[in-house]
Amino acid sequence: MLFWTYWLLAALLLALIARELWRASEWRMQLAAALVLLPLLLRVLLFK
Amino acid sequence: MKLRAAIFAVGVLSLAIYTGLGFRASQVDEPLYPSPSLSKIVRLSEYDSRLRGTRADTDVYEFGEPDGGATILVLGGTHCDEPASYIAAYLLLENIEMERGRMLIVPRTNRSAMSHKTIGEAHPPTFDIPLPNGVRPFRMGSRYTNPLDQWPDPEVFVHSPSGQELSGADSRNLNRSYPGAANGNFTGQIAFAITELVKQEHVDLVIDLHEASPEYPVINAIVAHERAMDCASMAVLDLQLEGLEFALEPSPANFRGLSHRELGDHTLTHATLMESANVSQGRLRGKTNADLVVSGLDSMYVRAAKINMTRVPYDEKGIPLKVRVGRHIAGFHKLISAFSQLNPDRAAAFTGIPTYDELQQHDLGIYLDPHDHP
Repeated sequence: MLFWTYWLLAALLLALIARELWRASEWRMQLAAALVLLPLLLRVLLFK
Repeated sequence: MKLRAAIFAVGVLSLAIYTGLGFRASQVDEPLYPSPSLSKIVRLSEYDSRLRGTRADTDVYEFGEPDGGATILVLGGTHCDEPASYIAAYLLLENIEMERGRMLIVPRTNRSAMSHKTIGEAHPPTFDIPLPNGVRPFRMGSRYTNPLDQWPDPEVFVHSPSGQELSGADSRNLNRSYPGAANGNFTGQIAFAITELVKQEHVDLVIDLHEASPEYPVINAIVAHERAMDCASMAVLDLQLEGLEFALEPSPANFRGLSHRELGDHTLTHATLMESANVSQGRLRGKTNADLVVSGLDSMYVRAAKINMTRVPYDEKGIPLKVRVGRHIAGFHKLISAFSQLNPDRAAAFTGIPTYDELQQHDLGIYLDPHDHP
């Protein structure tokens, strides 16, 4: 249960940040979103 | 704007693939090359089926046959940031030839701990041991079970069955988890499987290989349960006669969870543990890299030794891996010899394992060369 709660949180954050990356108009915001996206993506794919 | 977002997304995906492949590689066992006298390999899950298919399900290498001689169990890699522990076990399983008795070797006792590193320690992912023609890379792991396998840590780890309280992280420390429990946490299940192995295989002598930082009080030592004290005393005397300084440490009766205490108390085995001095674990160390693991030379420890802050002699020569492995191998020779003298009807005999002096003369790579194992 704890595992799936953690995974769902990571997946939700991943979706929100990906949306932010797509919508942001400034490159700095997009870069920040991309940097945050990386560890979330790895965790959702169960890497690390 | 959208093009830039797409470029960033491709960059993130590329980095995720690169990192993910590196992570996947860290989960694959490094190859070992057992000697021709290997009888069979069984999995630890044979002794506790709940470990099957998990990262704790490790190989148990068996050499020799049940012939009336002693059954000896060597545990390497209980703590996977103690390289002399598992390199000594690798050397044993790649070279031993049993003449009498059985040798069980578990080179990656906490296999889960070999699949990650401890955050904040800056340990290298791998280190190289020179071979006659090239190098052989070996992995560096962690003291603790991978949190992917056991998470989160409790505030306080309460050892079962004693009720002893330790820090939460020690709930993932295999050598605080013996004898383990069938319904315990993941690390406790590994301990339980090892305890079952000792019981079911009627192991006469357990040799658990470890390292510790040079400022740790129990160092360059053999720790022995009461039942193993005669055997360990003889071994230490023999080692000292050969010029190797070893201390004899009785297993503390009120410090629970350690292999020498719990395997001694919960089984009929003679439980022992050996410690060598490893600066790459030390709190006083400077730059931490693969060279430090192999050379064991750290200028901060040279300074520390000059003001008596180390428990072992330490100078500009350092304490290289071949010395630390050599000490474990020398202790292995002497413990088995002493056990055989004290129990002639259950004596064990083997060949193929170098002496301490041979190891220092020829170096580790001679005995760990995979080209000798076609």
